Amino acid sequence: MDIIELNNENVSEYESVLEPDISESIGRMFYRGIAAVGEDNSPAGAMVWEYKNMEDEADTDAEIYLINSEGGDALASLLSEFDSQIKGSEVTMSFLELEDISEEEKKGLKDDGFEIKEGESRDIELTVEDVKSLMALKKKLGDNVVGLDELMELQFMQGVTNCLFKGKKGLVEDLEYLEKDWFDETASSCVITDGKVSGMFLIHRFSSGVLMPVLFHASGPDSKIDLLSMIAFSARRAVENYPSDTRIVIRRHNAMVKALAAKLFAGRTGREAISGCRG
Amino acid sequence: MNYKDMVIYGIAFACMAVLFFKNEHIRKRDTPDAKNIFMVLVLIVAGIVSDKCYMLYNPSFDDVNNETIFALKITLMYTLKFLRELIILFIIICWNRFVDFVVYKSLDHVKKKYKRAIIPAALFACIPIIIKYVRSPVFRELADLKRILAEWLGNWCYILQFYYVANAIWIAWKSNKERKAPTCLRLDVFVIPLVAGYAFNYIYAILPVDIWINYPFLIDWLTTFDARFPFLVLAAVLTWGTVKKRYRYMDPINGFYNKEFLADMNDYMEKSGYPNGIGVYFKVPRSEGRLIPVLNSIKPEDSEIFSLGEDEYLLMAGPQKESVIRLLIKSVKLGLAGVDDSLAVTSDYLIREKEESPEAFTKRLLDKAAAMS
Repeated sequence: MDIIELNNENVSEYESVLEPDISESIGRMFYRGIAAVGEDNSPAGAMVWEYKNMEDEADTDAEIYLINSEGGDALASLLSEFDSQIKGSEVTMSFLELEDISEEEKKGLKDDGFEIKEGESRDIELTVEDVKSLMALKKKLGDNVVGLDELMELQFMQGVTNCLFKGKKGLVEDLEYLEKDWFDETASSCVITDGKVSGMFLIHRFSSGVLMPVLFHASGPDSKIDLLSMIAFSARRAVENYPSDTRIVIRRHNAMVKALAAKLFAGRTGREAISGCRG
Repeated sequence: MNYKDMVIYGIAFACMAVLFFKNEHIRKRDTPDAKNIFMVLVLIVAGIVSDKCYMLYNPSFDDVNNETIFALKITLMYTLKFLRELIILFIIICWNRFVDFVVYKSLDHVKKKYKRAIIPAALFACIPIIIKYVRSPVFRELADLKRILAEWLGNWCYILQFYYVANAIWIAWKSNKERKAPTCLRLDVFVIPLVAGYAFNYIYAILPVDIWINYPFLIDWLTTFDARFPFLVLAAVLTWGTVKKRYRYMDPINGFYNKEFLADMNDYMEKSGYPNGIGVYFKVPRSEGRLIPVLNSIKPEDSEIFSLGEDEYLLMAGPQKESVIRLLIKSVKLGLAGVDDSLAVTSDYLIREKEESPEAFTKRLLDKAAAMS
C-alpha cells in the first residue's frame, strides 16, 4: 500500500477519506496528513495528526485527529508511516480522542502500543440558541470590547504577540503563523486597554459551519471583568449573525476551561469517545 | 496665625522654593514626573492659602445679629473648608494616578478605578451630617440647604482622601509583592509622610489628660493646626529625591530604563523576576524617537524596553520561541511603516542559554549592542 503525504495541492483528491473540518488544517505548520492508496490509486485511508510543543522546550507530542482506513493493510501502512514520522520528530507521547472509530482501527491502535479506553469526550456541543443566556453575563458592555472585524492587522498581531508572550496559545499550536482571517471575525472578540489589545476571545469557524473557541485570554488589572465581557460580546454577535441551530464545540482541554464550562453550561456532558495514549 | 504656624509654613515654603529653583526638570516641566511634582507644589500652595482663609474666618453671631446673614457666613466658612479638602483630595489623586500608572502602566485602569469610589463616598458623607442633625438642636435651627451642601461636600472630599490614601498603600504593597522595585526606584515614599500628616492631626486625641490640663496652649495649637500641608511638602521633596535617583537608570523623557540599569542591576533583576530570557534589538537611525510610540503600542506585558541611546532600543522578555520573536519584530516593522515608511528598522535578537548566568547574558546583550552600533 503506498503512502502519500498530504498537502494543500493534493488534499482535495482524498476528500473521500478525510473529514472537511480536519482536512482544512492540512498545510498548517504543525499538521501532518498521510493517505494510503491502493494499487488502483484510489484512497484507502488517511491519518491526520498535529505536533504539539514542537518549537517549545517542552517534550514534543503528537495528537491524532483522524484515522480512517478501509482495511487492515491500509491501517497497518498508515500506522507504520505515522510511527516512522514521529520517530523522526522525536515525539515523546502520542494521544488521541476520537468519536468515530471502527473496531478494526481500535484493535490496530492497541496492537501499535496505544492504551485505549472509552469515556466521555472532552468536547461539549452546543448551539447558538444555548449561548443566548451568556449575553446577560455583562449587561452593559464597555466600548473597549470590540469584534475582531474592528481590529486592524497591526492590533491583531500585537494582541497575538501579547498572548504568546504570556505563554497562552489556547488550542492553536501555530498561533503565531495564522492570519487574522483564519479566525471568525464576526464572533471573535477582543478587549482594548490603553490602545492595546489586552484580551482575545478567538473563535474558528470550520468549513462545516461549526464554531469552536480556540483562544480565551485576558491580562491586566481588569482581566476577570474583561473575560466575561468578551463572552457576552461574542455570544451577542453569534446570536445576531448565525442561525440558532449553528453548532458550537467547546473543547475542555484544561482545568480552567472545564471549570468555566461546568459553570456556564451546567449539566452538559460530552458524547462517548475513544481516547488513547502511548509513550 | 501664631508663630509656630509661621515657622512651620515658612520652612515648607522654603523647601518648595528650593525644590523648584534647584531642579531644572521641575522648572521646565519636561518630564512626566516633573509635571506631577510641579502640579503637587502648586496645589499645596493653593491649599495652604485656602486653609488659612478657612482658619482665620470665624464668623460670630454677635457681629451680625442677624440669623440669615450669620447662616450665610457659616455656609461660606464650610465652603472654604470644602475648598481646602478638595485641594488636598486633588493632590492625593494626582499622586495616586501617577503611582498607579507607574505600577500598572494603564491609564484606562486608572480612569475606571478612580470613578468607583465617588458614589460610596458621597453616601458616607451624609453620615456626619445626619448625626449632627439628630444630636444638635443648634444645628437644626441654623440648618439650611446651602450650609448642609457645603458641609456635605467637605465631608465627601475628606472621606475620598482616606479612600485614596488606602488605595495608595495598597498599590505600593501589591507592587512590592509582585515585583519589588530597587530602593532607589521606589515611588511609595509619598505614603509615609501623607499618613503621618493625618495621624498628626489626631494626635491630641491620644494624649494623656494631664497634658491637656498642664499644656492647654499645646492642645489649642494641635487642635487648630492642619499638619497635612507641611507633611505633603515633605512627601513631594522625598518623592523628587527618588525620582532623581531613578533618572540615573532611566531616560526621563521616555521612561525607559537605560544601559546603566542593565549593567548594574543584574542581581536585582534576577531576584525580582524581571524578564531576562530574550533580548530583541531595534535600531532606527535618525528616527528621533519615532520608534518609541510604536514599541510602546506593541510591547507585550511583562516585557521591558531599555533605551540604549541614539534611537537604539532593547526589548527584554521571558523565554520565547524564535517564531514568536519573529512575529514581534514583524509587528514593530509594520507599526513603524505606518508611522513613516522611509524609516528602516535593523533588528536582531539573542536568547539566553540554559545554563547562562544573568550577568553573562547581560554582557552578551551589551556587547551585541556595541557591535550593532
